[in-house]
Amino acid sequence: MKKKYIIGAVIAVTFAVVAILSFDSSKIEYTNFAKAKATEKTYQIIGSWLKDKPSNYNNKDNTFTFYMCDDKKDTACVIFHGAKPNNFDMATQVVVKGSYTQNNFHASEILTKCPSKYEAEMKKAGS
Amino acid sequence: MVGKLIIILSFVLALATTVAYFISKEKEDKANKLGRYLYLSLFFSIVLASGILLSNILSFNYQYTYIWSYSSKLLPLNLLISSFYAGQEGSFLLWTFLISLAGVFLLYYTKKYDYEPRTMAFYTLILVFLTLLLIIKSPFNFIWESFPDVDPNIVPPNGRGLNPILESYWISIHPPILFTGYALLSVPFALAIAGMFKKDYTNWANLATPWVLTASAILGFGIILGGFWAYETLGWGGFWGWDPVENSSLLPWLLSITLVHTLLIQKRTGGLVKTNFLLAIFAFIFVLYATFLTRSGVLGDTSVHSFVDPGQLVYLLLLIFLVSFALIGLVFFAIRFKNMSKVKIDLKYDSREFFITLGSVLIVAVTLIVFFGTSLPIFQEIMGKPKSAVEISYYNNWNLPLAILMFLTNAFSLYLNWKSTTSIGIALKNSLLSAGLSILLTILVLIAGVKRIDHVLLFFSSFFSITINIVFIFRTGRRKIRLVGSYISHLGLALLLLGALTSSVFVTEKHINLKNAGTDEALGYKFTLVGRDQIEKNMTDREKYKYHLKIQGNGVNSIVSPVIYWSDFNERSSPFFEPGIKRYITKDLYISPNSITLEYPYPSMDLGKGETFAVPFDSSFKVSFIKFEMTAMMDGGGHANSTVMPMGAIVELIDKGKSVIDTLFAEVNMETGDFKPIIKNVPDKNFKLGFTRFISNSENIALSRVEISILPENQEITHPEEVISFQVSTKPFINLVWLGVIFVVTGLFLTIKKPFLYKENNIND
Repeated sequence: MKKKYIIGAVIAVTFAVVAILSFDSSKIEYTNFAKAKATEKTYQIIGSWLKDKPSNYNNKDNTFTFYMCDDKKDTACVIFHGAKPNNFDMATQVVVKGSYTQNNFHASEILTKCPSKYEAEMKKAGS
Repeated sequence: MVGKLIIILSFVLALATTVAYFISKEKEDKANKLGRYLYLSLFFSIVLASGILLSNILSFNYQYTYIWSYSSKLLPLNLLISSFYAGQEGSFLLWTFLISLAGVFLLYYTKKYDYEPRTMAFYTLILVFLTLLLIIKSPFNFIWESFPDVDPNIVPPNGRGLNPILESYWISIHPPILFTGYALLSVPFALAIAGMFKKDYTNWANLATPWVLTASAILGFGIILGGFWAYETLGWGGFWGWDPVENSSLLPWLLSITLVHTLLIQKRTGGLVKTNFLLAIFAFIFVLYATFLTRSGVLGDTSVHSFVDPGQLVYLLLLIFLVSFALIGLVFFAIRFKNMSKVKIDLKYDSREFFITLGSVLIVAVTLIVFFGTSLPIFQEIMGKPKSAVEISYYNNWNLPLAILMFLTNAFSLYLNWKSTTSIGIALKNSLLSAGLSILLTILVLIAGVKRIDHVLLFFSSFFSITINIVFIFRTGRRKIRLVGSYISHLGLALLLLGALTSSVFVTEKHINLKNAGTDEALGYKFTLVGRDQIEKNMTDREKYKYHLKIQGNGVNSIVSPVIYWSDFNERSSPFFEPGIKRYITKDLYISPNSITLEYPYPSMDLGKGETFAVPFDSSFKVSFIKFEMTAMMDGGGHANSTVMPMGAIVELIDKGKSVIDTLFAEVNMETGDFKPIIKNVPDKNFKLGFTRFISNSENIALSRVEISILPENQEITHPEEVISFQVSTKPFINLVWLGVIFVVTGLFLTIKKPFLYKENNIND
């Protein structure tokens, strides 16, 4: 039976360590531009691409720049270090991960959420 | 209409089967036989429903919303068949079909081993839930039911078709295999519950073993095929990204593979009875959890996979599904807990069972790490804290040390015997040779430049595991080929992680831009874009090209052809890309196109604010860039109907000391990004000026620059040239990953044996 306790202890120690140490350091909160601007911390921001503002892919340093509006209706210029994601045009929602420096939000990752576009299309066809 | 009725019939049959099997008191009584007939009718009913959906897909019947949404006349046969499970409704039906099919085998299997009624009762209960889900989320809804304002007399002539990203032969392979793995994990769950019901704590485990092995092999294969798809066709650059969707399929596999080990311990020592029940329950619960995560839309903001919100009802039903089955399992477990605890296990430190148990604990630890990481956004939301997600480094940092321990445990355990007949000292001595060899290999890795200590240790431990398992394969293989399964699997796992490590630690990457016939150098190779060929020309919904890149240098001289295409799916607003891969035994050369930029073939100046440049062939004429004129663009709202907007560059034109302020305009299409300069004549000069490009600054948008081109006076502006951006990288020893997977899966299959039952066990139904 003693060995069982050792195994138990291994489990307990592993998870205590994991729980305490890892989450806080590798957690990235979802927030808005106003809050992200106040610190240099990495955040994720959900919002939408402002298609009527300029956007541009710079192929020299492989960055894609666009304007985004968060759920508080704050607008920021986002500089994504990579190419424009290929479903970006269709996205209803974008999530950017990164931090603020020099008045621009520098994103290392973009997630795009695509709509079930056919629904809108069908409604259009129906009306 | 027929389809819907058959789904309802299936639901009724599933309920009836469950009831009949529950009523059955003894072997081959009336209820037992009735249950069997009902189950077989249920199976045929589900086959029929699937057949109806498939035949409607094949006959292009777009009255059905589901078929219209995911299928199209333009799809080739294999993709047409795959559109069966391209959406939620169809993938639920596929899952239901596979579970019901596995159930037919389970029925005759349990009949043979005298375990039928209880097992099938709980097994069919799963189908009750799934068919109920299919009633609510039906693939047989008509267009006019889904969209009430659509005229019911109009049948759409064609479907919307698959997302072009999914149009690959991989969609015919990956999902069905993954779903088969999921379906097979329902079996150990049903057997475990039946075992607890019957107060039989041993035979269920032996009966479950072949199923757990098969499920582990198939699910593992399915998961990595998804990774291969992402790597080979989707161009994600790697095969694993710790995305919630990937993680959620990994969780049941991890527990299934733990179960493989703990079932073995129970068979050898009689111990870990409770552990096995819990693992069998949670492996299945994690299948449901994966379904919940990927189908309920809860993780929509945190995954690169796209989710469709299935509606409140399905969300709730999936949650009820998950909670009910967890409760069924845990309530049975609680009731039988006292009864089970009679069985004790004597784990000695120097026994093989101790080390295998330790290994199992490590896999469970990995499972929990992945579980917490993946579920964090949900936990945070439940606790009312701000939503957050973990970084990818979390998974790597925490799983790496566990993997190191796992390989050491595995390697070492092989030199120990069951029930500690070999001492640790002898085991250590026996593994010296492998340890020495592994140290040598690790020194090579250090010389190659690996710096992180956890990487070095992982290299060492995988070398250790690889060498010891190879020794054992040859030792045992001569005697009995069947016994080598576990060594092959462990060898495979070590190879897989080794490949994952080399291909990420030693990766070299560079961004290059190429015009047609243009050349650039990167990573020691010379890349030349030699031309393009249109492919799939008969398809009118797309324009697809293979771009041929000539690669020279480092003893390489070959052509790689990544694919770039435009599709009606997104109204050809932006291109889709597929990588080109040149495969060698020791590495892959990975060429991933990611953007196309249009550039003009004129002399040009690249100016920042306040900068001045002289025209190259007329130095008396200077252009100075003052600022952007973007008022029209920045108040976009006022021009809502127009997608084309003017962007201006206010410049100062200086000619022999005389200065004029002027604005050069370009028309920008806000949707496609097309940039069309409006060329301006310069009085008394033999050239014209155009604002040909907006060059955004990667540090600060306010420091963006403009490109001003100089055109000959008598020339109209020509079409700009395509410049294609590529991310080129080498992935050293990535083949070890694929080789490793083949070994893992083959090993698991080799281990499958007929179950062995204890005769003395008195089974009361």
